[in-house]
Amino acid sequence: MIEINGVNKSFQDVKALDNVIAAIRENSIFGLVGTNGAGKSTLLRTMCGVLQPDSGMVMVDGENIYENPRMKERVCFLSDGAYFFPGATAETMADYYGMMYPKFDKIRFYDLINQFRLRPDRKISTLSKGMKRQVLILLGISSGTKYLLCDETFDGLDPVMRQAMKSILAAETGSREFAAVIASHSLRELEDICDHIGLLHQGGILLSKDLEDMKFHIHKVQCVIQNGEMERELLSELNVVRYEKRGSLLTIVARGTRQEILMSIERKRPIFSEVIPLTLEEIFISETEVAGYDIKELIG
Amino acid sequence: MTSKSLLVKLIRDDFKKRNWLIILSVLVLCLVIPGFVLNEVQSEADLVTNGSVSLEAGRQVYRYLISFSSQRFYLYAAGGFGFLAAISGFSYLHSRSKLDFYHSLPVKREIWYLVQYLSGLAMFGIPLLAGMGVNLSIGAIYHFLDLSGVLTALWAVLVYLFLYLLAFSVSTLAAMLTGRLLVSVLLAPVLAFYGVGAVFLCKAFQQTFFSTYFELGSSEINLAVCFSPGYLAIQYVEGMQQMLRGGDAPDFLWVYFLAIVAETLLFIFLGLGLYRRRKTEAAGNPVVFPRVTAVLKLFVVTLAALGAGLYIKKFSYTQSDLWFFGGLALGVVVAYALLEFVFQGDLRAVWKPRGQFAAVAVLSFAIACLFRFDWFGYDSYFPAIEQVDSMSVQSSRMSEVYNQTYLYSDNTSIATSSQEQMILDSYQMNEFEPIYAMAENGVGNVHGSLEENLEKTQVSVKFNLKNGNQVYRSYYVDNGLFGEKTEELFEMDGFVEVLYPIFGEKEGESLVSLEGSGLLGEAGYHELLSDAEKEEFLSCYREELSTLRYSEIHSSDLLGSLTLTYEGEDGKGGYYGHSDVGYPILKRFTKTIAVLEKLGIVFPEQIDAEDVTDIVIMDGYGENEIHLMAQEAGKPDLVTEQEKQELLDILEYQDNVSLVMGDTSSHVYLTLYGKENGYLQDFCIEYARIPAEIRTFLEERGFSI
Repeated sequence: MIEINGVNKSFQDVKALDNVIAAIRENSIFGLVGTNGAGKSTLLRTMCGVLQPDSGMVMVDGENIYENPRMKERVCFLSDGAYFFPGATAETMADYYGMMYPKFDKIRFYDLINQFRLRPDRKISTLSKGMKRQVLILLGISSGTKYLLCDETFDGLDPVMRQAMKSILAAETGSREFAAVIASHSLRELEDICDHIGLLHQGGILLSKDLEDMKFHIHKVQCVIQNGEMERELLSELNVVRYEKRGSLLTIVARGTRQEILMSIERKRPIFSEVIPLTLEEIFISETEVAGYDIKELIG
Repeated sequence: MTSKSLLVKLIRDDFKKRNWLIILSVLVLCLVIPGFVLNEVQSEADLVTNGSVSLEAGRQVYRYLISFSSQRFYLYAAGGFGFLAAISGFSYLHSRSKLDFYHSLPVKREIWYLVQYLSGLAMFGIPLLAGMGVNLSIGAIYHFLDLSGVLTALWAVLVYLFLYLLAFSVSTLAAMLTGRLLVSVLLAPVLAFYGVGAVFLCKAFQQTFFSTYFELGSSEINLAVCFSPGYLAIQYVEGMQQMLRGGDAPDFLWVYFLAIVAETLLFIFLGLGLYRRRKTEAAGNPVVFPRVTAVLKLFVVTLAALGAGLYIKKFSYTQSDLWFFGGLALGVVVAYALLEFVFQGDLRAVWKPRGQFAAVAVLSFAIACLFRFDWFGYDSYFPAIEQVDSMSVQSSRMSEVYNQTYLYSDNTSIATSSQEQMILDSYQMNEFEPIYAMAENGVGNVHGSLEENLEKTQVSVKFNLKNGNQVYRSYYVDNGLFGEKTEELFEMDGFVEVLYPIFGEKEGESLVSLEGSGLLGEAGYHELLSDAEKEEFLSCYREELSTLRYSEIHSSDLLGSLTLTYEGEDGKGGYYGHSDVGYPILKRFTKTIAVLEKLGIVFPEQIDAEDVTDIVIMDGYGENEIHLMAQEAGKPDLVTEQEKQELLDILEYQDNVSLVMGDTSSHVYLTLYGKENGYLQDFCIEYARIPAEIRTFLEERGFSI
């Protein structure tokens, strides 16, 4: 487990991380979302031991990771400004990663390279941005580390490649002790892969919740109730997050289990009622509005 | 993976990534330098073959070429490679993306640091050894190689490895302190040479603004050396050059080597400490540690500004304060702007840290005023007589003897870079009142103008204080007081003996020739004195010279001067020679004169008119020129033989034009020509000394001064 205990980090006058507390468990994919300058990269760089926190600590499996090679062997960091040696090929980078990470799986790497139709002997400098990203991700996955930290790594990938990479990550999580942290400014990108989402704003964790848990306890329902008085009763009975009425169609987002909400609606003898799937963005909007933030200002 | 195996792998990986450095190193150390050595050795071998030089001399040249030759190839290679290896090896510190990559890897910073040192050392050291092997092979082929050559080569390899490490560690410091490649490249030479620049600038300021400034020899240089790794390396190599060319090992050479080792170790650990503390996020900042920025600006801009002010003052016509302070202000502005531009990369941001600019300007002006207005009282320094234990004094007017390589005192030889200091250090007078009086007078003359000082005598004085300190000063002393006090000194026991080197002896050195200079120029020359001749001459002359009085040196008693030439062995199979010129011969040194006459050196007391065929009188401007003797056959002389003899009788040795000092506006020049050799001598005398009849005769012919 990676534990982030009260980490603070400032760069001169700018507070980049403000008392961040979070935990990343094994066999999960943690999505770290926030706008540009929210502190995502800073948090990831602190988590992998590149930056030293001003106060607080990042513990990896119970040990402080800063200047700790033994713990760093368990973490692979894929930076957004990926660095490759001048004149390097995928092959030479794999050799280097193999030198650094004892569990680096070269066979797996070459399999993946072939799968993605990349040439291992071609100079990385001649590849497109997307292909460079692919090489980087494959190196990270093949490193065999317990934790993989990806900083906006999926930027530059086409939708097909993005989906493929997500599938591989999901498969890794299922097949061994593995956890990934994916930083992005886009909720839509993280929606179908992450099990846990953390929202970073101005250096602080605003929200950190299990996605299934979030989805289980908040629902969106559309219904038509003939009686206006019963409509008002329904709204007062439910734990409404927000609602909207267009004509006779009432759209309610309410907290509670699906069963509880539907039972309340049924008691009002609706003409029509239906549960509509909530997007991650809608869930976040609901959650953050409660906290007094306008999500659109937070995630763009 | 163990640290050891990882280290080896990382070093091998570094070799692959920086193979260009290995190629360059091999090229220079294994090809270019040995190629130069081969070329020179072939030339030397030819000289040995045709007998122009001995084999041993050839071997000496060979040892010099493969180690510390004057071309300094190895020194430049060590410095250049050290710089390149450090800057290229630690360049990742200046890039965020590279740092994110390297520092996220499971490797400690200490390992990254060690990898660069070890791989760099291997990239330089192995080609250095291989190249030296080539040099030794060349030596063996041409029969110049012997055990001494091998030992010299091994010592040179050790020295240059340390010099490489010194350059590497200084450049590494620059890389650790900065977050940008350009700034680290510029900072490295500043760190290497700042100290010597500061010391020499301080010296220049003292020379310019302190009228009593006395230039010390080695101690100031040593200070500069200690504070400058680059200068330390150069000084050490120059010292070794001197030694290999057959000279003595310069003072402090072994100290320089220890300083090289100590500074290298210091910078290695300092660099490691800075790396440990270095924040990763500082990559891209001009300077990594914020406090260092202000310090750097203070040091660099101040030095540049002070140098600019002094330079502009020196080359201005009036050399006034306006030029000095104006140049200083310009230097502050330009140097600060340049440095800020290098840091920020943006001209608009140059003037934003105004507080720092103000601090730099204030410091620069404060230091300038400190020297210009002598705030610490350098010129006015004058210890109370109770504080003084002993003193010594030196002036070219006290003793005419010059060109001394060594001064003899108690059979020890003292060699420094300053002859005046050498003389001051060679003796001390416990009865120092005359010297003290001269110094006191000199302090009073401190603010005299250049014109006023021309009428005074310059002396150098050393105070040996009771607290153990030694203070050196240079003064302008009133001529009258100087003469009076010098006379007192000459009357003191032992003073003449310390003033003239002939009273001491250097082991292994012997007197080989004497040459006299008298009224009519060369008075005779005698070479290769036998032991008996030397003994007789030295005993007579020492006895009579010890009774010398100052007033006699410039009086009509002076008959001429003697040049003593010595030769000695340098202890390394070679020889050296030097001459002491200007020993006075007085008319009353009868014993010495008799001995010299036996050796064929004769000092005439007067000039015989029969020996002079013409006398030309000229004024100081060269406008009036009159030949006193007829220029054409059959034409009468302008003066009689008696008048001619009267004129020649007034001439004395110290009237020799090369010996006349001071104001000559009332003087005329006489050139004498003789029967056999044509030109005889030039004299310069006061016009009033010329016999009245001749003066009347000259004025009738329009002569005037």
